[in-house]
Amino acid sequence: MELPAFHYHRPNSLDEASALLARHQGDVDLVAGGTDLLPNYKNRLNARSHVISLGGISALQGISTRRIGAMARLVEIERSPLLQTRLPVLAETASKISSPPLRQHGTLGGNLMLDTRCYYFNQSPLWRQSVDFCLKAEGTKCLVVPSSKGRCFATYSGEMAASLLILGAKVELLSAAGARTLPLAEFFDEDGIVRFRDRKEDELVVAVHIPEEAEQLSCGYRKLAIRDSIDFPSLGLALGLRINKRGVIEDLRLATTAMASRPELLDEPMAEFIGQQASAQLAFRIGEVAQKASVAYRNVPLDPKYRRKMVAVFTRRLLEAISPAFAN
Amino acid sequence: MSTYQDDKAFRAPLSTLPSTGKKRQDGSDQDFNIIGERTPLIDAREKVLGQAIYTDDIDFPGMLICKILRSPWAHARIDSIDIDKALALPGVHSVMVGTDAPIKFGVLPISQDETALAVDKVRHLGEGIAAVAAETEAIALEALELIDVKVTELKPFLRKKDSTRELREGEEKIHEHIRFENNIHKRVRQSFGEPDKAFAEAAWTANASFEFKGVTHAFTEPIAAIAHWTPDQRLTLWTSQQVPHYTHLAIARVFEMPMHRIRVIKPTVGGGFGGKSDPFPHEMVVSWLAMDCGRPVKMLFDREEVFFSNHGRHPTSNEISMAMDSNGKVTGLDINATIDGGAFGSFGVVTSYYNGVLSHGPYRIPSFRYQGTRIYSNRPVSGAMRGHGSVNTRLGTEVVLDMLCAKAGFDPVQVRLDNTLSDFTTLINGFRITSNGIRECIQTVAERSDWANKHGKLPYGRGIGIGCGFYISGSALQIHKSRLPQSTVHLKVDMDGGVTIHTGAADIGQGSDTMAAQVVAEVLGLPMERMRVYAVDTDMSPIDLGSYSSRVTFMNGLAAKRAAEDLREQLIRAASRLSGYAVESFIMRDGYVYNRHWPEASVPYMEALEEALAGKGALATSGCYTAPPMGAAYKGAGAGLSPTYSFTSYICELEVDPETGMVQPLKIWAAHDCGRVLNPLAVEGQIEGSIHMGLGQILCEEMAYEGPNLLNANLLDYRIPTPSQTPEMDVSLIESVDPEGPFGAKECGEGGLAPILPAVANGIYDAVGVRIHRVPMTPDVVLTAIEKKARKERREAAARSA
Repeated sequence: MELPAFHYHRPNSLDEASALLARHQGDVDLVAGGTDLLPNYKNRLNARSHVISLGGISALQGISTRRIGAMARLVEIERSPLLQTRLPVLAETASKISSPPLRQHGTLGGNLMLDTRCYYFNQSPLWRQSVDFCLKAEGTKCLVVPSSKGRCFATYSGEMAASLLILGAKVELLSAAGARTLPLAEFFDEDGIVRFRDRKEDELVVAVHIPEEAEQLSCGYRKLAIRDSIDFPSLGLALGLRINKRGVIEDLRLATTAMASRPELLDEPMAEFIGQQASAQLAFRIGEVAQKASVAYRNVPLDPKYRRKMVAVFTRRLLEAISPAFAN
Repeated sequence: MSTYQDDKAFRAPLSTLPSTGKKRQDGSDQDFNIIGERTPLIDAREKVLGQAIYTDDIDFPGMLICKILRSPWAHARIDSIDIDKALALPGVHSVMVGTDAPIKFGVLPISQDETALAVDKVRHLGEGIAAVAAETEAIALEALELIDVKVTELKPFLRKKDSTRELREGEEKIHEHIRFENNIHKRVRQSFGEPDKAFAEAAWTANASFEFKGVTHAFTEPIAAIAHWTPDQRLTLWTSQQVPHYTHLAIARVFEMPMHRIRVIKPTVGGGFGGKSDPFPHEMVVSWLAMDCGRPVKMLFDREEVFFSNHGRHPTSNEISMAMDSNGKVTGLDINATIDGGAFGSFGVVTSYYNGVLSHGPYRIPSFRYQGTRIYSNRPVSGAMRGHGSVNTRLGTEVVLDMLCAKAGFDPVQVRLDNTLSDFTTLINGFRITSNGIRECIQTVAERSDWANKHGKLPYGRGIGIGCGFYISGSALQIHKSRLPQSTVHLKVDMDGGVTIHTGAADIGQGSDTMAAQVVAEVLGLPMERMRVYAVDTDMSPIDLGSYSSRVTFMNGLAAKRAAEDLREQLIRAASRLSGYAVESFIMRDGYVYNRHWPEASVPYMEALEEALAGKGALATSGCYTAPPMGAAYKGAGAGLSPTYSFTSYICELEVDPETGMVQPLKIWAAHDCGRVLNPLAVEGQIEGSIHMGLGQILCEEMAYEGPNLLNANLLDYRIPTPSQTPEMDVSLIESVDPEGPFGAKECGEGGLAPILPAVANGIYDAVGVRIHRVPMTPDVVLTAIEKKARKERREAAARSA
């Protein structure tokens, strides 16, 4: 399989990248590792005429506890001694993405901005022609939810997002019009084609910022996939907990990925548990609530009903693993 | 002394012949040179260094690239194909359509139902409709978009039950040649003994149905071929093939060309597993295009095209019933199987038989009934895949046997031991069993796994299961009726002292080249480095029928051995002439024609060779193998008939997470009887590879269809187990020493796959008490079964308390 022809740009500064992005607006993609973009290009999935590599921009690098550059490679996050001690859930999540060789190339920004996936989308041109194409590429109807009325249900599979959501991360964006920072929880859109709420076409992700208080949380991440390497998640679940000495929950955050078209922070459903006394029974109850609050569609591996059940199991197991107060 | 310089060692007079000091494990006093040694494959180094030449590595000046226009329809009548615009595109040299080569072909003479490209109608999504030869891949792809195909869509047949029923109004059957007004390709009915009586009189019976999704070979090297119509008006085809000889025959048939004008060459092949064991449409396509253009034409499939080519294991529904007497003796077996053959015949008639007949062992089955049905459907063709035809029934029979043991309270290991076939016996269907190490296989894995202290005794969530099997070591009957041998090997030795082995056996990564070299080196008492193998160039190598049905070590090995024995005889005669001692006193070992009685009269190899060459030139010998007559006379008696059989037993210990349904095998104990082990390194590799492949089928691999569309035609979504999911394997090789095999060897490439499926399935039952009836046993399916059982137990508890 050959890549389609495109103009390749490799700017050395953010300004240059920003200008290129503005100039080719609407017909341009950013490549930040390429482990997902290039296979999609080979399948002629919304390939653009211009591709801008972000690999030459030093301002996109760097890892600290408060800021991680968009071009930090997943392997760097996985192996960062700083993150391993201060924000271990980020290193843990990175270590579960894809496979070791691909984590050498894949980046935080690339994973965060990962295109949504679907059985009807991630296919060859012939395959898609045989079903008369889908909403997300060249077609007019959603094949997952035929009554979708123009909404795309492709599944978001980025894994870093779930962990960053429970840490309360913000995303720093840059465009020709200037920089802005917004909470990650407000960044994603529920539509699998739109993907990002209010993102300007010429905007790029510079970094994510993590608030200091995130370090107070005890966190964990679980991934559901048939194989323990290579596979995209069929569910990714991150959980953050602050609990006092008496076993009272002071903060509880839960986020899922690979269920819907965006990563979901289940903040409202979890609110009722703040102030409650941890117990095995409560862990079970929290799992049930998380399951009820989750939706999934039949467009990635494993049955949606099963994936929702696993939300409950993973939630309970993470609570038990994080605090012994949930074990009895 | 010769004027030629050669290694001194092979000319040195004998002072003392060093003993090899190697004694066989079986206690025999046979003293082997290279047989039984852990011998790295002779092409391992070039593969590891990236220097092996696969088909796609071959380039010629002026070579064109071929791309195939594939059908987006599952079942449709072709009304018209307009290729004019594509032909007019600069850089396009030729465009082919189905009517350019309409003669049908197929691997079995009874199933000649494929064409190079679709003629009149398409029968599955992905079938070739037209093909382009162009100067670059990009031009070829552009040309495909310029081809205009008009069709009338037909109702596709996608479910087994739609293919087995009578046609309805407005439906058109997939092939005109189907005998009845349905889509049934082949029916097999066999009955031996008194099955009805066996079930009526049984102390215990058990029955279960299973649904198997299709699996495919997923070999590493995608399918590839290059054709060249050379200036001498001959066609040469380089092709990634397991059966170059059948391709040779099929090309001659399709192009109505005498065989001597066709040359088929097999370069290095990156795996086959049965997926490259048919003559293929794309081979016809590149051949036609090369003849049309007068230039070399290359075809390399992408992975999706490999999935379209498929020929993988048939999706199967089967129902197995077994009867047992009060002593735990199996008295009857009843098998009903429906297998989905996809759009074409391929090996399907054989598969239809194998689903039944390969269940006659490794146990004594006094009464047996089998009903098999192979259907056509509008999906890519199913064919032969490692363990051909035996795997899905084997899962069923071994699980049902386990169910009987659970019902009757017998130990599954003991029951298997009590029911095994003996060696040197004949089965009710006429199979001839010779060497048989099944008892030792079972005993070995039971002991090594500590079965007695584990089965039924592990904590909830952990379990242990057993599965056994047997497999053919080459088909005794030939696909094409012929008086030719099934395998022939030529040897040539000249004054350089190296031994050239010409063989038609297709090394597809399994190591058959190394096997042939080892066999010849052993007979001649020479080191491996003197062996060189030239395999599969039909101009140069004698015919071998190919790498399928686990026939190569046995048949090609015997051919190689006989050719080497002929060569040895000539060298011994020469030594006898030189030394004056009788030929009977000589053997060959360690670089000498060695005199067993008077070691000082031994003749160095190079001196004997010089004498043998004198006035005659290079020595050329030939050896061959033809299976002896065997078997019964009823219709279908030849299916599964083999000169010998391998036997296998596996035990798997595993963990089931009762809340997620995830199954993790922890350790596998394997014992395989492959007769004499020629090369432990290679045999262990085959067993480990078989286990890995079988684990894929039982736990995660499936060709997932939605309607006619394969959802996962890539190696990301078609999930082969990764190394980290693959457990530790404890492989024991049981050497039953076959009376007919080369040095007593039998097959080891396929029989080792099937038993891992039931070992896992029975292990899951031991761990969490559920029987899963769908393969693969993915975590969602396992969890559903666990939940169903829990609900049933709750209901029963409630009923008891009420």
